[in-house]
Formats: sequence, structure tokens, C-alpha cells
Amino acid sequence: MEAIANPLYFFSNLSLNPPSCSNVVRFIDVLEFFFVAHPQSGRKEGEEHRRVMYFHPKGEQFERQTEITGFAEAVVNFTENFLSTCSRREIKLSDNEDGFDFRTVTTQRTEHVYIRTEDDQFILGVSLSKQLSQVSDYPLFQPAIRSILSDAYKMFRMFFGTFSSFIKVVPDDIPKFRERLDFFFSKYIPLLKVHKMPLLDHLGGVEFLRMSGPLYLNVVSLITELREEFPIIEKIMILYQDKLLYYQLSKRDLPSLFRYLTHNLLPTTLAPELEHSGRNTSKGRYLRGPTDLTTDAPLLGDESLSVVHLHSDSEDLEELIGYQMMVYRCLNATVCMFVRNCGGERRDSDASTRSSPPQNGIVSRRLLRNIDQFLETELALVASKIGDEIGDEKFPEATDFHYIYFNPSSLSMTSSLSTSPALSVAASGSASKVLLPPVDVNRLVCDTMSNFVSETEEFGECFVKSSSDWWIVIKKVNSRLLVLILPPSSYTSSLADVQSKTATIVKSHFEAIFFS
Amino acid sequence: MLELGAQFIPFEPDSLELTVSTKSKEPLLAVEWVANNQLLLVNNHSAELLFINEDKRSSKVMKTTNVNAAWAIYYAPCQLLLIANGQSCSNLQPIVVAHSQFTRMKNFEVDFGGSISKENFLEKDAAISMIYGKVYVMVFRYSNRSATMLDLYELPTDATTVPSFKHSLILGFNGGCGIHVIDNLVIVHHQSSQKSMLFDIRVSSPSKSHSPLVTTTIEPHPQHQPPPSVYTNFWFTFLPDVVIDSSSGVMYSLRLKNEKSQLEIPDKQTMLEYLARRKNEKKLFVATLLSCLRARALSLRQIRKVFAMLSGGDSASKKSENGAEPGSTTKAVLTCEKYASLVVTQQEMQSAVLIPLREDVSLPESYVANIMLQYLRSLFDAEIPPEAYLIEMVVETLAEAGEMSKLQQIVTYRVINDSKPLAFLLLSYEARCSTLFQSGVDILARNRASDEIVEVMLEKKQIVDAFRFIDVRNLNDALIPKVVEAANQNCSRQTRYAIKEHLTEKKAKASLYKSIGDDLYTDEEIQEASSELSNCTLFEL
Repeated sequence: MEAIANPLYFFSNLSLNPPSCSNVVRFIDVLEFFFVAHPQSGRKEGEEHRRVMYFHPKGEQFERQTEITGFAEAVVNFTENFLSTCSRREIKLSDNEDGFDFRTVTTQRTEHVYIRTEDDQFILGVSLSKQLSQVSDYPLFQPAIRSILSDAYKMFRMFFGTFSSFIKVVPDDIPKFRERLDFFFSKYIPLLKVHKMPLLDHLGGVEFLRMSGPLYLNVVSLITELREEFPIIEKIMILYQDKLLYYQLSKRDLPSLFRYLTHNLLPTTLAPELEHSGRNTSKGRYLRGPTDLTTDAPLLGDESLSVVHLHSDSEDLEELIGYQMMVYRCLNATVCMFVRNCGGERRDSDASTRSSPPQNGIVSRRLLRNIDQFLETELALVASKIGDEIGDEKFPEATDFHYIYFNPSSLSMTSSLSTSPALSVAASGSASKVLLPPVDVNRLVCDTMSNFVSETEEFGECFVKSSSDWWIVIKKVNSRLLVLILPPSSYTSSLADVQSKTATIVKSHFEAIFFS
Repeated sequence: MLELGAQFIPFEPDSLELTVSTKSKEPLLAVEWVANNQLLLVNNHSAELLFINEDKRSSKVMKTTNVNAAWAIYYAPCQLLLIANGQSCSNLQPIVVAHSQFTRMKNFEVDFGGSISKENFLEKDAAISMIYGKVYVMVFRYSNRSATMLDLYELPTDATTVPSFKHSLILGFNGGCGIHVIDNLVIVHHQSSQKSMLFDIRVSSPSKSHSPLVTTTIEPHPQHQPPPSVYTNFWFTFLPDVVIDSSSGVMYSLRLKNEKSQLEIPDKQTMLEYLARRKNEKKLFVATLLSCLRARALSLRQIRKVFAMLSGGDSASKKSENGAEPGSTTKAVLTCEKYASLVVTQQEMQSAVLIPLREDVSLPESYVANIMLQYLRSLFDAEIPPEAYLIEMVVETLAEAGEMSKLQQIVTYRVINDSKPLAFLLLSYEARCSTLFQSGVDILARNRASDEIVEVMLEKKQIVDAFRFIDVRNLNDALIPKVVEAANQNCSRQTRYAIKEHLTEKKAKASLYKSIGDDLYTDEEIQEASSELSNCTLFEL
């Protein structure tokens, strides 16, 4: 358990309530229920409740759990009749990222979303209460709920592997599976925060750091050198503060991994870093794993490295491969390195992990030491250069509008409405001096997106005025999406005004990008 | 690596003879020609500068300075006189003899490992030389316990800074030896072991101590038959590169054979840096660099360092340049020849290294691309704008290597400068990496190449958006016929009608859009419609 548990150690100390004026909502505050079901396990009459693998809230009665999951299964199976198989395949193939088969159910009081995963063996379901969402000022947006649900699944999969891997090898290992699900989701769900602008959760991009080209080349060559020096490292990712610089891993894993790092791992390391600010700060260190690198003792128990399950490089392979993750941090720069876990059967032989220590790949203290030696000098050099450049730049001057920018091809997303916990002290959303948009505007943005902006078209433009005089401008140029949310003002009384205002904003803030 | 060669120097005895008298009656320690008509005399208590008048065969004292001297040596290239005095003669006083003046610099104490058996610092244990544009006093330091060291004291160019101990060369032997300084290398010959050691003080070292870079044996030039014996007792060495063999009465000069360095210096980075520092060895250096890269003998990290040295972007060389700068604020009294480091231009680098690498099919493209990126980085670090051709080559090589995501990230961060040809190059890769299309259009937009953007949009059949773009940018009406033509080919009737309406509304010149309405309906359709209409009227009746 210890070795398996360690990627999740962080889930314990980040449970602050967001302030009411914040732009996030605790997911649990709007949540009715969440479940993971395996219909196959509940086929026998009288044993239907066995299909429930995980259910939130935990106190719910068995009958009700069975009822809810049964309803979900029924909905899925019934609607299946109306879906021609070929069209479904198409959906799956066209959208590799989120290729989960899904159903949505809207009732008077709730919004349900079900997704099916892993060859339709499992159903994950979530239901949000309309009443609670009203109280929390959270507009319900189906695609966003779907994304939240699949993100939860992907996060689990990243740390524990696929659901079916639990069932495939040892058919009666269901208790183990339940235990893992419980372990993960009972921490994940209570801590999950969702944006009051649901579009942000739906798009699910990552934020890149802006920097000058020559400096960026330093980052690229650092990574190339590191990989040449240590060919054992297969995948790599580098961040500065909570923004991404460069990555060499499958795009499918990027959002989950980025989210884990910026929302969970890095914030927990910030406090000790501030405490020890007196000591030699340019010295890098590993965020997880052993603290003592001088010996050659094998890495066991608490000292062992986290294992994450990532996609292989070729985009069409669904297979997940276990990687040991090393996270090295130095002067605000974080390098994540992934080494293939050679103990390939480790995941499957979980049952035996208690008796014999898990075989923990090939990462040794020696390797960690060598990488430390390399990064200590090289990373510190690059990181301090970045620090100088970032420090020179002032915070982006306050804007009088809100925006969301998203480029699906690079997954790059920036928004004045998003918050990252690592920076919440410094300047969360304070770059914008306008009030956060009210819930009806947020809802209008979502509605406009789903009704007037085509997912498949690469170009498009849409201007909407809300009843409270906010303007919403959605532009899609060359697949990139730009959403501008303009507060009511005397300068935006007519459509022509808004158009010229949009042109000005694009010119001043998105100059380098083609956004005519 | 060292070669001995003799030169024939014609010697013509001069008939001029004159007698000069000194002021003091002390025995002379040194007599030096400072200039064509100036003679420097040093005795125990003073140094005198005499003016010689060749025609009148007379001399007169121009300048005298009182200085205690145990011995003195003179270094002509810098007009530097070094006088030893003090207890055990280890206090050295440098004096610059220029413009008929004596300029005293700060004196300094040297450690020569004095002991009871060796009380005084001797003239034969000191030498002056210029290494990498700086003047050094070289001092042998003997020790009973460890081997002999050669210490280098750097003389500042101004008269106010105290000379300082900079380098220490570990000789590792005792006994008779000779020094040469050739092409900024200190070469120490050891007689009994018949070995010569090459020291390069630029080879980075964690401390001030340097181990020999190469230990080798002198080889006579093949022209000398039979080959003269080397390292004999009759050898006398003189700086910078002269050997006099007193038994055969021949004067030799010593030469470096850098082409052998590849065999002698095992570490490739050190070897390349060594070659880059040698005079007139650019060709050899470039060829060696290419062969090392071909053999993949260097890690990327080493390649980066070598490139940084070439582009002059490395901190070490910058610092040394900056170090010389403050000297200009204080008055420089010591003039030394500047050391010019090797410069390899971008063109040379491309034609002699990068292009051959790219054409070498045995090398993986990604490796070549990484080398190019390292080179690009070195240029950026040195703030040298890279040439368009280099950038194009980097992009092409990255594309050939299939490193599309790397290429995209590099383009997105504008590592490479924008240019229209680059944009089209990126657009042409769209089939292999669709995101590069975006980047290509971005570059066009940044270049304000609106016409090209319209073309690209039409190519992608984004006709309405092309129109919108023309409107937003208020582009030239001349583009409209082209768009109209594309609309006629690709758009549905409704869209064509909308476009026509839009143009009418915009009051565009009729000639520009006339064609779009013309064939909104074909003749058959019109005919069919009119016949249908007549049928309808028929029925109504």
C-alpha cells in the first residue's frame, strides 16, 4: 500500500474553502452523486449491487446505489439502439483525446452524464444538482461536466492504470479494485474545484510561459542534452513556476499530468521552499523519492518513485506504459523525467506487493545522483536566465475585459478567469481589474459556444449581447479560439463599437497570432 | 608534436664600433638595445638609457634611474625591464622603458622555494613571455618534497595594479630543463627524461594548477640527415623557440605540429579548443571539428561549449575582454599585442561543417538538427543575428528528422526570425504536421502579408473568411475578383448570393463582383424555372 499510495500523499493538505468571490467552486458543493460501475459484475439476479465499484456519497443506501447505476446502464443500453455503430466509431476516431462514449440525461432537478470506458466495460456517472449549482453560482454545462468526468477517470488511470487491468489478471480481485477506487476518488472528489466559467474545464488546456526565442532555445537544448546524456529518460516535461515550457510526451497525457503537477505536487512543495529560503536556493532537489542520494541502497517504500501510466509516443496506440517519474526542481523550474518502469508486471502483481517489495524499475540512487549533477549546473543556469527575463517583465497590465484563449493543436490556453493554486497568493485573476462576469454571462458564453460555434469549423465569429449589457465575442480563427467577455460600458453600446474594440484587443494582446 | 628545424641566417658583421662610458663604476649587469639608437645599461645601483649617435660615434645619457639590482632581464617585445633585488633577490621590479622614459610598475615578491641550500633567486630561473595577450613572468619554484613547479605571474598593463600569481604549471620532475613559449603554449623540456611538456593555460582547470596537456618528444625535421641527437647536454634554449646545439654549432627553431593533436589529446572537446586557440590553424580546426561531429565523438553539451567558443558567446571569453576594458580607464603603460581568438563566420560554418553533416546520410537527421540548434543557440548567446539561410536549413533538417513537435514549439516561441519564405516552408509541411500551418499563417500575419493570407485561405476554401479578412483589414479591392472566382468554383449558391449581397451593400465597384451574379443560375435552370412558372400560370387559369 505504501508504495502505491505515495503519488497521492498530497491530497491531504489542500482543502481550503474557496472564498465566495473566487472564480472556482468546490465540485462537491454541486455534486449529487458520482459512481463507477462494472455492469458485468452485477449480472446475477439479486446481486445487482455488485456492479457498483465506487459510489459517492458513501453513506448512500445500497438500494439507491443499485438503482442509480441500474438506471445509468439502462439509459446507455436503451440509447444504444438509436446509435448506428459506424457513427459511433467515427466519433471515437475523430476525437482521440476525449473519445469516450457518453450519454447525458437532464431531469428537473439534476444533470447526469455517463461515460463508458475501456471497451464499454465500465460506466462512470456523475450527477449535478441544479439547485445546488444555482446556490453556488455555477452554470451547468454538459460538455464541461463530461470533461470533468473523463478527467477524473484519466487521472485515476494515470496513477493506477486501466480499470480492466485490475479485473483482467485476477478475476476475483474486485475488492482490491474497490479499495483503489475508494482510495483515489474519496480524496480526489472532495478536493476537486471547478471553474465558474465551465468552458475552462471543458477546454482543459495547459498554460505556456511566454519568453523570448533565444532563451527558449536554451530550454530546448538543455532538454536535448539531458536526453542525450541519459538516454534512459523517455519522456520529459519542463515547467517554470506553474507554466509549461517544453514537453516531449504524448499530448493525450499532457493535460492530466500538467494538472497534477500544478495543482497538486508543486503547491505542496512551495511552503517548504519558502521556509528554507535562507539556505542555498540555487541548489536543486528532487520533489519525490529519496532524500539521501549518497548511498546506493535500493529505493523502497517511501523512497520509491511514483509510477505513472502514460501513452506511448505513437498517437494511435491506446496502450498504457508504466513510467517512473522523477521530478527535479531548481529555482522555480521543474523538470519531470519519465523512465520506463521495467518491472512491467508490477502493476498486475499488486497482490504480492505486500509480501515482497515492488520491483522498482531501473532508477537507482546512482542515476538520480548523476542527473542531479547534470541539472544542478545546467538547469540552474537556464532557470536563473528565465528568472531574470520574467522578472524584468512587469505583470501584464490590467485589462478591462476577460478573455479565454485556446489553441487545440498545442493545447495552449490562457485566461483571465483561471486560477492556479500555486500563484493564488500572487495574482490570481488580478491582472484584470473588472469584476468577474456574473453567472448568467458565464452561462451565455457556454450556450453560445455550443449553439453558434461549430466544433469542426476552423473559422467562425459570433457577437452576443447579454441582457445585463455584457458583450461576448467569440472568434475562431485557424482553429484557435478566442472568447472575449466585455463588461457593460458606454464604449460598447453598438455592435460596431464592439467590433472595433475587439480589433483593438486583438492587436494589443494577441499581436503575434493571426486573429484578424 | 614538436619538430626541430634549422634555419640559415646570413650574418653580416657591422663595422661600427664605439665606446660608451657609464656614470657609475659598478660592473654592468645587462646591456640591451632598446631602440635603433638607444642602449640600456643596468648595474647594481642604477639603470641608464643612452642615446647613440652613429654618425658622430658618440653617446649621451638620456635618463637614469636609481634602482638596486641583483640581476636584470629585458623583454624586448614589451620594452620591459625586470630587475631582481631585495633579500634572496626574490623581489622583482618591472620597469617599462618606453618613450625615453623609465616607468616603474608595482614591484612584487615571488616564491621560488628558497631554502638553506638555495638561498637566492637566480636569473636562470626566471623568464618573461607573452601568452594570450598578457605578459607573464615565469618563475621556477623548487621544492625538496614535491616536484618543481613553474609559476606564472601576470603583469598588469597599468602601473598601479600589483602583479599577481595566476597559474602554476606542474612539471613533475627535478633536474635540468629548458622553456619555450610557442604560439601561446608554454613548453618545458626535461633533459634527463627526454620529454617535453606542453601547457595551455586556457585549458580550464579547477584550481590555478595545470597539468601538462601533452607530453611528447621533439622530433628532428626529416631534412636533417642524419637526424641530430636531441636533448643533449650541449643544448641551450632561448625564448621564444630557439635551440642552440653548441656541439654541432647549429641554431634550431622549434615548431608545433598541430595536425598530430588529434592523436595526442584524448578528450575531443579539449583538443578542439586547443586547435581553435592556435594561430593559422583554422582549416585544420574546421576539418577536425567536422570529423569529430561525423564520428559523434562529442556530446551535445560539449558541442555547445565548442560552438560558444567559436561564436564568442561563452562567458569566459567575454569576461576576459571585459577585464581588459577597465584597464583603459587607468593609463596603460605596458603595451602588448592583443590575442585574437579564432573567428569562424556563419558562412564558413555552414559550408564547411553544417552542410557536409546534413549531406552525410549515415548520420541521423535528428542528431544533425540538434547540432544546428546548438549552433543557433551559440549565435543567439553571442547576440549575432543568424542568417536566413541557416534558419531555413535548421527548419528543413528538423522537418526531415520528423521532429515536428520540436519544430512547432520552436516556431511558436519565435526562436527563428519571421520571414515570408519561412512561412511558405512551414505551410508546405502542413500535410505532415497540421499545426505548422497555423504557425505559417501567423508569420504571414506578423509580416503583414495580407495578400498571401488571402491566397492561403482561398487555397483552404475558406472563402467567407477570406472576405471577412479583407473587410477587417480594409484590403485592396484588387483581391476581390480572385475571391469571387474562388467563390464561383467552390461555394454553394446561397453563399454566392450572400457574397453578392454583401458586395452590393458595401458598394464595391460593380465591375468587381458582376461575375458572381451572372452564373448564379445556369441557362437551363432559368429556362426550366420559366417553363415551370408558365405551367403554374396555366394551372391558375
